[in-house]
Order: sequence, then structure tokens, then C-alpha cells
Amino acid sequence: MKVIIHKQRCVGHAVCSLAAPEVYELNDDGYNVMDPFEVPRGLEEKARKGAQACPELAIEIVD
Amino acid sequence: MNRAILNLAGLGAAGLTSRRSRGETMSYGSTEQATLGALPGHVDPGLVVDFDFYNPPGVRTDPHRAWKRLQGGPPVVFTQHNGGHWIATSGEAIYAAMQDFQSFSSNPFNIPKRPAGSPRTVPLEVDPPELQKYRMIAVPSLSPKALASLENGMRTLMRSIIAEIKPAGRCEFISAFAVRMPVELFLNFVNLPASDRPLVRKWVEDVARNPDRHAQHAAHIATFEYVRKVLAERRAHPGDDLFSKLAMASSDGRISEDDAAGMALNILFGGIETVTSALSFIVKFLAEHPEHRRELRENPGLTITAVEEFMRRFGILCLGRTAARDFNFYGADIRKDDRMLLPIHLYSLDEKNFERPLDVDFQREHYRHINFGAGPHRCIGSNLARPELKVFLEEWLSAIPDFSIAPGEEPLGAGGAALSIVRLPLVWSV
Repeated sequence: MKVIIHKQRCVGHAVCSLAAPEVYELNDDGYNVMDPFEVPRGLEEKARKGAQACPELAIEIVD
Repeated sequence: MNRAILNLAGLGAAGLTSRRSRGETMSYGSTEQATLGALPGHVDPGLVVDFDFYNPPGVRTDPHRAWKRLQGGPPVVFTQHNGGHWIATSGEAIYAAMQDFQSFSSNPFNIPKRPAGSPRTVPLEVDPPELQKYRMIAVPSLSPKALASLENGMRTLMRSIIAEIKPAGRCEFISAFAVRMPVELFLNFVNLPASDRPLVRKWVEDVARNPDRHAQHAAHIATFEYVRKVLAERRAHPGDDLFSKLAMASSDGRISEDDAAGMALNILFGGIETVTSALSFIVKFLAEHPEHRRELRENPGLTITAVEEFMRRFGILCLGRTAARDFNFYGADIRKDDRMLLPIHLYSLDEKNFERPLDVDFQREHYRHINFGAGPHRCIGSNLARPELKVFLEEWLSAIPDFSIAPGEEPLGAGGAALSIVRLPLVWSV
């Protein structure tokens, strides 16, 4: 499973890392600026929860 | 919600025939607002509802259900109350309007319009791209990382207030806690004396809920003068707090002194009333639902999820926008300078977004809500509010695990820009 953050849409809700701190990291200002990454095995469900929580629909999951 | 129920509520399309509710609204509103404006020529009479958002029918019993009655009809409706304005009612239309800042400007924000010459609320009333310059002055102080160290202080404050309240076995929750705690926490956060609490509280309440435009305006001005004085002091003697950062941004010329005060005003209003309102709905719900209290006590790991579900179910704010152009929006012919009200609580009460939206369910598939807004104006204090509510649930339920509405008494709801429960008598055994 791969995650793509559409960085230009992130406005800093921080709910992705609230739902899945193991998967999503924020910068010091509270924005997600992660480059595309593979989700570590076993954290797929967490990754999905974090993506579903984003009010900006900024997180794309590619299975 | 079907059409028959809409009509029962006096909100039916072409609601000009059902003015029974008008007497009720007049008793609460000022003369100026209770007098309906003329229907503008471009507004389809089929989209008109009789809806005063400062006092919609049924708001005293249940503010969210009072609003929910608007949903299920046209996605955008028009009311002649409060100067005349549109209301987006479907989740989709609300979300689209919040994202489309080019069509729906945040300036001016307030409905009805504030008198000319009112201080600008910054960055609430600033559109992109200028918006970002202002936000980035405050964002670093309000990021999850910057606020992580605050949780212990929140816990100590809440514990001490709860310890004061608990022995009596009863309280009026709004004045005893919901109003007190967020003001104290905020004043402490920006390093202001706790003795300013009653003053600040009164202004915040007037701005959020006083239907008298003159009282609302006076409170707005008084708060502006107050923060302007505070910022002048901080310019002379800066500290590490957020208000000092605003003061410094104006003394080094990044923003004007008025805009720095406008930001302090925005942060103050945004950070206090909203938490009071959120607490009021959460506690009313828990007082009436022992099974949800038990679920949280038995599974403390659910608390973060519960905060999100409570915010989804009990959204609070009505945001104002001003049309920047003529266009058709979800069936409504909007003209430049028309006012639009976006009730963000209706987004997550829309059946198209959530099944059984009125149920509180900590086991939902997801909790995507827009109670902190969506788009460029996302609430800058969301990272402070979330832990505030989480710590509250932990501390209150551990000190007072069981409580209910005082027998023979009734909670009282209120409308306005921030929905709220304004009276909540509780009892518990000691």
C-alpha cells in the first residue's frame, strides 16, 4: 500500500497524525509534507483511518 | 426530513405564508432585525424560508434539530431575516462554498454586517493569498508540537475546577465550568490576568449570541480596544506568548498595529466561545446517555475517537461569507455582495455524509467532519481545542463518573453564530 500526500491541499488539520501517528508525520508547523511512501506492513488499517479523517481529502491511498 | 415536517416547522418553501413563528423571534431579537427586509428581485420565491438563525424555532430545546429541519429541501435557501441572506443546507453545498474562496469571500464575515468602520477581524476576514502571511505568524505557536507541553497545565486547571464543584453534588454546568475553564485557560495561554475573566467572558458572549446589533458591536469594539492596549504593552515588554508574537510582528513592520489587534481579537473570540459550546453539548449528551458514559469509562482508549464523534455530531459555528461575483450555486441565483451563511454543523448531519447522523456512535467507520472548517481558513486553534476536550472527558468522567440532568429542570439551547446550550443543571451523588 502506497500513500500520496497532496501537499498543496494540506491546511494543517493534523487529524491524519492524530488517527495514525505511526504512519503520518507533521512538520514543526503542523503540516503534512511527506513525500510518497510505502505503508509499513501491519499499519494499512491505520493509514486508511488517517486518510479518511482528512477534511481536505489530501491523502490518497494507492492499494 | 420530508416536506411535511419542513412545513410543520414553519420553514416550507415560500414560507411567507407561515409567519406564526415571527412573534417568537420578535420577542428575542431587536426591532431592526425582526423587521424582514424586502425580497431581492433575483431571489426565487420558491427558495425563501422563514429562518432567524439567532432564534430558529425549536432552538431552546435542541439547537441541532432546529437547524436540521432546514435540510432535505433545496440545498441553498434564502431568509429575509438579519438583513437577508442565503443559507447553504446540504453538506455538499456547505463544503463547496468553504473551499471556493474566490466566489465566497470572507470579507465581510459577520451576518448581519457590522457597522462601517468596525475593526477588521484578522485573518478571518482576509482572503488568500494575503491570508497566509497572517496565518504563518500564529501557526508555529499553535502547532501540535508547540502545544504538546500544555496538556499537563490543562489537566491541573480542570482538576482544580472540578474539585471545587464536585462536593455540592450539583451544578449549573455552563457557568460553573463550560464558561469558566476556557476563559481561564486562554488568559493563561496569552499571559493575561485571571481577573479579566468576567469582562472578557461578557464580550465574547455578546459577540457570539446577542441578537441586539448594537450590543454586539459595542462588545466587538470594547474587545478590540482591550487587545490593542495589551499589544502596546507587549511591544514594550515582549514575552514568549502568542500575543507578544503578534505585537512583535507589528513592531517589525510585517503587519499593521490594527491588524495585529485584529488577529488577537480573532484568536480570542475563536478560542473561548467555541470550547464553551462544545463542552455544553458533550456534557448534556453524556448526562442523558449513561451507556455512552460507561463505554468511555471502560475503554479510555476511545477518548480521542469520542472527541471527534462529538464534534461531528455537535458542530457549532455558522460562518458568514460574501459573494464576490454573480453565479448560480446549487440552484440559487447569487449576486455579487449577497450574504451567505454556512452552518458547518449541517455538513456532518447530512445523511449523504453519515448514516444515522443524529446518533452518537464511537464505533463509526470514519469521523471526517468540518467542525474546524475546511479550506484555507481552517481553525487555527484546533490543536488547542482537541486536547482540551480530551483532557476534559478524562478528568470529568474520572471525578464524576455518573451524572444526570437535575430532576424538574430543563437545559436551555440557543442559536446565533455559535450554537450552544446556555443552561445545564446537573446532579450527581456524592
